[in-house]
Amino acid sequence: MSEKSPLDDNWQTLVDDWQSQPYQAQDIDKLVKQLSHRTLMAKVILAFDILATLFLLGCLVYQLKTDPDDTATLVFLAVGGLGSLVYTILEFRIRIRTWQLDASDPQQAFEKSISGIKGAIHYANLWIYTSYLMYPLVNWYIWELGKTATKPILPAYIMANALVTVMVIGGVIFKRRRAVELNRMTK
Amino acid sequence: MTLNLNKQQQFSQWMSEHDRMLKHIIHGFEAKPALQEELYQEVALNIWQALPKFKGNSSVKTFVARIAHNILATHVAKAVRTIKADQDIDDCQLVSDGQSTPYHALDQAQRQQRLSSAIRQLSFEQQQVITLALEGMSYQELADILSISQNLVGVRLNRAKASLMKILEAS
Repeated sequence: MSEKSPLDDNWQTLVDDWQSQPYQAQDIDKLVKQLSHRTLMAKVILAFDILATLFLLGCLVYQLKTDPDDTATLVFLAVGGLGSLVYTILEFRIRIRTWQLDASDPQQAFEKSISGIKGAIHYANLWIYTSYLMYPLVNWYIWELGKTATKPILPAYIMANALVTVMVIGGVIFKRRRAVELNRMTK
Repeated sequence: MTLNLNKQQQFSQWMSEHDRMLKHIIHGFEAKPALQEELYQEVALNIWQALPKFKGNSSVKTFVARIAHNILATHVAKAVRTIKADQDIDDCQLVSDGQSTPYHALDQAQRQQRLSSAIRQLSFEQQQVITLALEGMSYQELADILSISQNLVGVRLNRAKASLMKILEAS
């Protein structure tokens, strides 16, 4: 059924050349440590996000009880806590799903990679929309603080808005790169 | 804790046994050393994660090679430009080395370089079958790894060999 290729006569030479290619042997112990560390760090980051969300929501509850009239801080904590909650839930779902996928199956391996990229795009979207929301929030917060400030608040405005702008630009660039990757993979 | 230690021991054993095969396969798909290292790490991580799901339906060799090829498939899908750029670089190097010399007249190091470069110029499917066949795998093993029939393995391998021959002769 198979035709004899002209290469068949020289195949053994190619096999010998291929198999005798020099390579740098991996330090397996080091590799195991790196992978254990990487896996642990992924779980630690997820745990940290959960704790950070709980902390923000805890601060909100505390602020409501101790100083319910400080509207600016309450709004800031509420938006921060809500944003953190949405992000953490999203991240949790994506990570758990990705960890369950098995790369020994070609379909799942692709899905795993696509899932990772989609997760990154969702995260970028959340980052960008949160950053847009930060503009009125931050400026309003500074304006509220400015009512009782003794120093000029213009530098605070400039710095805060510049920081948020950098966040927006960073998010957009990150999202575009991931979108290009996703587009290539789903073609 | 005991389970984790067994997993580590098993993983270490698998990676020690198949380190060379993985390095060779990755080298056949990606020219840049930094990306080769990144791919190796990615493959190793996915082997680590998939290890508990290994049921012994196939040999460890085919299981490991399958994961490597699946990861390489996603890499190729994501990073087409990188491979093409590497092809251009390799072609330029070949030209500057005066590559009118027939393959067999070169010394082994030069043959290995030309062979790797030629393999990277094949289509993805051809790269898959050729790299595995060069590793000495049988048609059955290729079929298991690539999730295709043995007949299709034969067809692809013959085409891959013909394409490889053309590229080696042309250079």
